[in-house]
Amino acid sequence: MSRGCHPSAVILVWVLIAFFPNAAGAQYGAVNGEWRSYGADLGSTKYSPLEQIDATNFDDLRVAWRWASPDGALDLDTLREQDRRLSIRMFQATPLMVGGVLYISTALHQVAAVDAATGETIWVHDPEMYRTGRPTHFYNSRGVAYWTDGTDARIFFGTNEAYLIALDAATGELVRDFGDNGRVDLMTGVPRAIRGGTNHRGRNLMGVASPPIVAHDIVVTPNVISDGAIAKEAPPGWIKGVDARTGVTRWVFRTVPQGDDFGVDTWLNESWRYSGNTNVWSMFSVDDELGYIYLPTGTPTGDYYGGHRLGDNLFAESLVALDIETGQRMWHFQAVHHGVWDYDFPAAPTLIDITVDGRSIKAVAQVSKQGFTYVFDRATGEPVWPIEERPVATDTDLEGEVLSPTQPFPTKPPPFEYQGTSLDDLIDFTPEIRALAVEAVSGFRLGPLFSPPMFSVEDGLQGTIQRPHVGGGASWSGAAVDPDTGLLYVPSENRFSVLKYHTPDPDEGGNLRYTFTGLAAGIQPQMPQGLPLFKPPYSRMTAIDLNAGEHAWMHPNGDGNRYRNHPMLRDLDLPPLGGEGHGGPVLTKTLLVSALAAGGTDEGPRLVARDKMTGDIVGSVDLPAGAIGTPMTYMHEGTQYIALTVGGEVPELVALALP
Amino acid sequence: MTTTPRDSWIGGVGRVVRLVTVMFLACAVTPAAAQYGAENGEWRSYGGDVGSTKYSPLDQIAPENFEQLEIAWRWSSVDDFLSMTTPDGGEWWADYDAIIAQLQADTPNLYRERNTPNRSNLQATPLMVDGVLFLNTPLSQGVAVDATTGETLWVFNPKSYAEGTTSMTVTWRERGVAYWSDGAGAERVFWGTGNGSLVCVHARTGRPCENFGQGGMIDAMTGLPRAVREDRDYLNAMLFSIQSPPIVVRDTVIHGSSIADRRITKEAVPGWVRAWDVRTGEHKWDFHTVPASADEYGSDTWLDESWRYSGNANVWTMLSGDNELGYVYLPTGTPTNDYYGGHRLGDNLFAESLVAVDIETGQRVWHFQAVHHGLWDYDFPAAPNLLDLDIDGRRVRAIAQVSKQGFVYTFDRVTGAPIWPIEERPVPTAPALPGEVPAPTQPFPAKPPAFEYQGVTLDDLVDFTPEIRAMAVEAVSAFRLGPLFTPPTLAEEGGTQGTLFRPTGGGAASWTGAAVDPETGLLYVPSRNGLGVIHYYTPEPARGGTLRYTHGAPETERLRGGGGGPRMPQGLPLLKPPYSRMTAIDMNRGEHAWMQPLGNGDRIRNHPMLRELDLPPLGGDGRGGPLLTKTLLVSALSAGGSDDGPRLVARDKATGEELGSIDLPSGAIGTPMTYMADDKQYIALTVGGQPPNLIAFTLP
Repeated sequence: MSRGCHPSAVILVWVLIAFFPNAAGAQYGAVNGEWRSYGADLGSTKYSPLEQIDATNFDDLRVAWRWASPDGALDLDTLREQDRRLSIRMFQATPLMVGGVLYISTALHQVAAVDAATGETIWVHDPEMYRTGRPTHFYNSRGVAYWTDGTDARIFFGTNEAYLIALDAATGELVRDFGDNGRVDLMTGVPRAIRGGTNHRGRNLMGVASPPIVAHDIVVTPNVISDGAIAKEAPPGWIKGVDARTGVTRWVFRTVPQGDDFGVDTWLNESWRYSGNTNVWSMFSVDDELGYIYLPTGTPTGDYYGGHRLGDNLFAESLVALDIETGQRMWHFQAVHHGVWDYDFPAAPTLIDITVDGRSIKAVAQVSKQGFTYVFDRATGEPVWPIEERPVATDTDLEGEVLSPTQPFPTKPPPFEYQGTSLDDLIDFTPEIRALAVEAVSGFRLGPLFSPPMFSVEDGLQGTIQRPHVGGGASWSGAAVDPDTGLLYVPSENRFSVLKYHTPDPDEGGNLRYTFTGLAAGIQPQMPQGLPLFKPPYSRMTAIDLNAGEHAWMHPNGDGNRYRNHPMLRDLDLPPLGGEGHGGPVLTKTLLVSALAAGGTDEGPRLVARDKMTGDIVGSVDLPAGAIGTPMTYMHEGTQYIALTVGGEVPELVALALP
Repeated sequence: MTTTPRDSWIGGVGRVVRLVTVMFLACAVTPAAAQYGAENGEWRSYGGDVGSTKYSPLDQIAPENFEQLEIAWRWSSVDDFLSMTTPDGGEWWADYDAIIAQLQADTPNLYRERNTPNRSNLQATPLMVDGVLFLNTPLSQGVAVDATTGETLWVFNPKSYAEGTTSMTVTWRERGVAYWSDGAGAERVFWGTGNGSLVCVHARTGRPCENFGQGGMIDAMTGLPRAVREDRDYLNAMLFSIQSPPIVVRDTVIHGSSIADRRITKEAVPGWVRAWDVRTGEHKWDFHTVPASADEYGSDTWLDESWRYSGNANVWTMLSGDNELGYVYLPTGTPTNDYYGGHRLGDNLFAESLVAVDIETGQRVWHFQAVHHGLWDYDFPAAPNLLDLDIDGRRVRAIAQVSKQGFVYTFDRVTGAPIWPIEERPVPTAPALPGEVPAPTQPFPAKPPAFEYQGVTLDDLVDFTPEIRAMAVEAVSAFRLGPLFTPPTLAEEGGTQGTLFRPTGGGAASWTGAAVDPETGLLYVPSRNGLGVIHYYTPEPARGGTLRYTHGAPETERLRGGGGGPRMPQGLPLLKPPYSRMTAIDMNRGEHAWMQPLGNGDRIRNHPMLRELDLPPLGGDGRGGPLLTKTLLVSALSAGGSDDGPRLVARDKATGEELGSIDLPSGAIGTPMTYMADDKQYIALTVGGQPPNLIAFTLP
């Protein structure tokens, strides 16, 4: 069979080499109208210099085509007999565009190639992972990776059962000479990652939801490991560098160190022997020129209780730079020591060249659930602005827990989201409402960021109100960065969580002293009829000048009419309240584009364009349904498109273009 | 630029494009006696009804507006997008080229040489039930299409192409599907596949029927003598396929089969007709078209126990049924081998017969053999037509069977008694091939007259000018001529080059069949005037050949192309016109009502030697299948439209006069059908293209 790469891809490669020598650096935005990596480029800028769509015509955008997720064509009724939680709704992917073809994955982990001009299906590859097990967390997938050596072109994709699969980009067929007939078992060699094993909820021990990244002919795949642990033993989220041609595993980075590894002393009582998680479930970034890959890691086992893993727990909740060819650690930064707040790094770091006090710095900026942006020299790991270890409270009634006495606080830029809770943070639209809020929080511990979680005691303290919420702050929708201006744009949410704990049943295999009971479990702060507890905005978009380390502007994400129309609020003159989501950003030459859950015709979902310098909305177009994934943009045959996934009974990929 | 999901996604196994939410018609109760045309504006069986009338009483499209018809929608066949199972157990959908290339890479010699899956022959006539059309594609995918928009509602892909090349010489075709409903919400669609499976899916979802075979599929080769799924014939094709639609009579689904008749062995799969329970898929019965034991009726018509190895005698075409009587009617074909019977002496029941079978028991009720010991490939090519007649004041529930040989055989469908005498008349038996013993007599219906030329004499040769006639006489001089049923002969070196026969094995009538009007008793049959000569060779035993003579070797085919048959210069016809025709036969009287050549035949008329002559319409523009409505006889012609392109014509049913004509975007493939949806009447048919299309016409 002829397995040549797509003809147009061949041409494009040639064009790139001929005219875009810098494209190798690729942290400068998408080039040539394409979108070759999840975040536009390996540096996750989410920036494309296209400008056909601009402030003057954004409102004229219309749906060019709609492509229904092929998940809708599966026999869902029968599949739900196997797993009643099976859902096709989390069509979270951002497509790639290469050579006039979009590549995308679906909630049920089908991979497809779609004609960029017409939305016609070119191929679909269905690993049928839904037949072989239940996903670790959700039926979701955020996208795929593209690789070419100029001859072969491949799509790499991680499945919910932790296989990396390689597909011929032109046909969608498994690349049979890659790994084992086209796939690589990411669980092989990972402690406690038993193929076919399940956790106490009958779910896969490891899976993949976010796209791999490929550089230097090495493909690196994120992984998902259950957060709902009841046992302290779990597979660690080790990261593998796999040869893009052969599927041979070239290196493994042990996110939980072993034996003599650096960092093993941050796991007291040899807790590295059994602890797991500490995975990258989100996306990676790469500096192709340096040959470094940046790993934004997550919380170790279990998310909210560290009594079985005393110590700082490297390389959890860290940004780690590795040599992509060898897997050797070049530098690392741990943002949360001994984390108990589920403050995983939730998104790919963004690579940006900045000038600080006249000094040019090749930087990497990492947004976080906790609301900080951590900025480093990406070659050395040196913080661009000082990051100070500051004392934090450590008192907790969670038995056996020993919290870190200090945590790192960046001095710049300022946080982009509220952090911690105090009475001053409570809603104060009217004295009456404030009184309600004071009452609502009266049984809970308040305090600054990194306040210790507390056990809920019957008729006593009902736990600690944690803000940002365990979901963040920033989330997998991440940030975008403008290589022209050095401005970083991050959407975020203002929510809180109160963790509830219980001791898991040893008969079910539980051996953690505490595990969490669920995010809405037990007694929670209650405001009447959906009134907010805290001051607005409830979600926002923040623009941060990374040259100055200062905020350029902040806008609430939406008017928040959902809140505003509350009987107790509707007569007040309130500013925009936000709360219409924190949809992922895409940057073009002239626009910042993101989706809002409301504010369109009949308060429906919409896509808005903002002025990049002021944040003012300069255009808005209705979406046929609420956005799911982060938009992307591309140019094909003289037309610029913006494409994103939206909801519905069968979710769809829609492409907008000018008439 | 705007495309909807229907255009962008067509799925594979059990895939639906969009969930279908169609109201079930509470009143859509299938009439028991469905031989009176399609009802309720639907088209529930291949031939309009189970009696294969191809008649619908719709009348919105009428003589005065036929030419205003416009294409309402075009649906593109889905075989450009296929799937296969991957080594990781997943499913991979991609364009045809990628999938077929991978299948071939995985299994070398998967396909017969030059017979990789072919997407072009979209022969199906769709059904229409409750606003949804159902049909299948050349690669055996079943689809549901919205009747008003042409939107694909679901696709079920049995992936039959993954197993090999289908049986038969002209491979990769499917003619349609069958529908069943219990009237209480259960609705199923059935069709056969190129690799010999029977598929059952739910009509509204395209999901496979649970508890019906394996995942909604029955291996229809299981239990048939000599039907080994893994075996391939000398051409590297499968031994058994299903290419025509099954039929549902009461709660039983019945189907025939396609079994290669270009072969080198006398041993073949017998074309037993198989019946299954529509609900459970349980095997109900097989009708042994070739007896399975010496005890079975008809086994004595296979001398030397040749029933033990002989095969074919299959129903490759469509079936008809009578729900009231509970009978299914089987039009069977020639036994092994088509043109040589030296290994199967005797009459060979139930080959080339019409057999009435009790639907519940599978027992033969009556039968009629139209050709004894067939040597001409005179399979019955089409479903018999059921109609009620008034014969000399006597009401008769009749059945009329058109044939390749040009006769219409007409019976009381309850008893099998001929309506008009069918006489056994002596026919030539010599010369014949060595070892051949032709039957001394063959049946000749006294009425109605044949609807096509039969046999070849010098008087039949073209005589537009004396010069042309002389050329024709010269052209046939090396061949034996004779009446219908003249035995074929071998080409002799320095002697005669075989026996010309007419109609050919391709038939006067063909699978396009006939239509009957239940109101008038008129039967409409398109036919072709062709001439054939069979070239024989002895297949090498070393290659597995066990037949003393067979036809159609690749090398012989080449010879034939080089001049094995009678040849006229530059495409001049050899025989008198018309070269194809439509004949209307008054079945109450057993007489022709009218005959019209099918097309002007300008292709022939413009020949340099003919263009100065004043010739009548010559026909030759195809023999497209007929569709009857309240006021029209509609059929496709291959020429005569704008720029002499293909077209659809409407005729006056009583006179055959052309009342209207509209261009087709490309040549018709299948037989048209009609239906009513949202108060609009549509005419739908398949036409050629890459991919081929199903198109629907309606009034503006």
